[in-house]
Amino acid sequence: MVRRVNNLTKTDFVIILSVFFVAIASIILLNTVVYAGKVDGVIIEVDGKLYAKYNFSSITSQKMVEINTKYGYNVLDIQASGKVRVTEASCPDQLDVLMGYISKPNQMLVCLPNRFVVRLIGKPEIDIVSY
Amino acid sequence: MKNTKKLIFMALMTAVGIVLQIAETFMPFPIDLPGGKIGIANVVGLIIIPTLGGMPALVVAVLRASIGSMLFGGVISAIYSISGAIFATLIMIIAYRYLHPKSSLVGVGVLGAVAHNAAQVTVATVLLGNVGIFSYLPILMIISIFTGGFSGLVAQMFLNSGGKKL
Repeated sequence: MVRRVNNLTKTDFVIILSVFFVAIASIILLNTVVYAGKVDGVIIEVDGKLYAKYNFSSITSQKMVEINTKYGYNVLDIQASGKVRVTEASCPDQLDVLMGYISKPNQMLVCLPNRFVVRLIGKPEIDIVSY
Repeated sequence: MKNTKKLIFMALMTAVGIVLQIAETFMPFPIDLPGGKIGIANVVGLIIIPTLGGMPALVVAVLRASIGSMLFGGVISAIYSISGAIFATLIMIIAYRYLHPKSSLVGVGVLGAVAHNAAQVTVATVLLGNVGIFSYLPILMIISIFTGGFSGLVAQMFLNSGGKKL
């Protein structure tokens, strides 16, 4: 009934190594392509529409932004160093608060019940147009 | 295996899977997917696929995931568990059929764990409407090597010791 199960085989190592290399390659790809560059500003969207936009160059110290809409209530903590986190949320799961700080371009904080999205924008270090 | 024996074994494995799934909720999950799991409970699938076959494994996986998340967790964790369980079991069935004599259950388990996490990330992307969640998948894939490999080892030890009597 049960086929004899052997110890680790060569195919096992092939599977494990290929999974490992795909993972490492995607991490490298993410860091060099998607999250590349320096953080420039932060965009706050509510229900898909632009709510507010801040540039880190114009922020000198920590800045707390309250976002109070008909969908809910969030408090955003913007640090002058380029880090952003949500400190308070009216949604039950508190997922966006648990996410902690984000600091790379294209990273996002989402609070789905409040239709609230925070996205970091950046200017890439290499200008694609001049390439 | 006789029909009654088969049914009892499936029921037993469902119970074991539920316990494993509940134990899993106390294990830390590296990223914040609400209801996201590492996928240790897939060890049950790895035991059933070689002994009873693919279809019973799928039935047990769906039962295990739905009952487990009814007891512990809510609607959202049920969506994660069921989709993860179904996709992981399907991949493990395919991997077992085509790779098994060449690879041991460890390789099958690793592929199952990767499938489990891929399904969860996909569900999270749909639920949260945010493609950025896919950036967690590489980290989860590296973790799946360990969890899947562990599941495979456990299943292999079980089949080598007690499995012959089945």
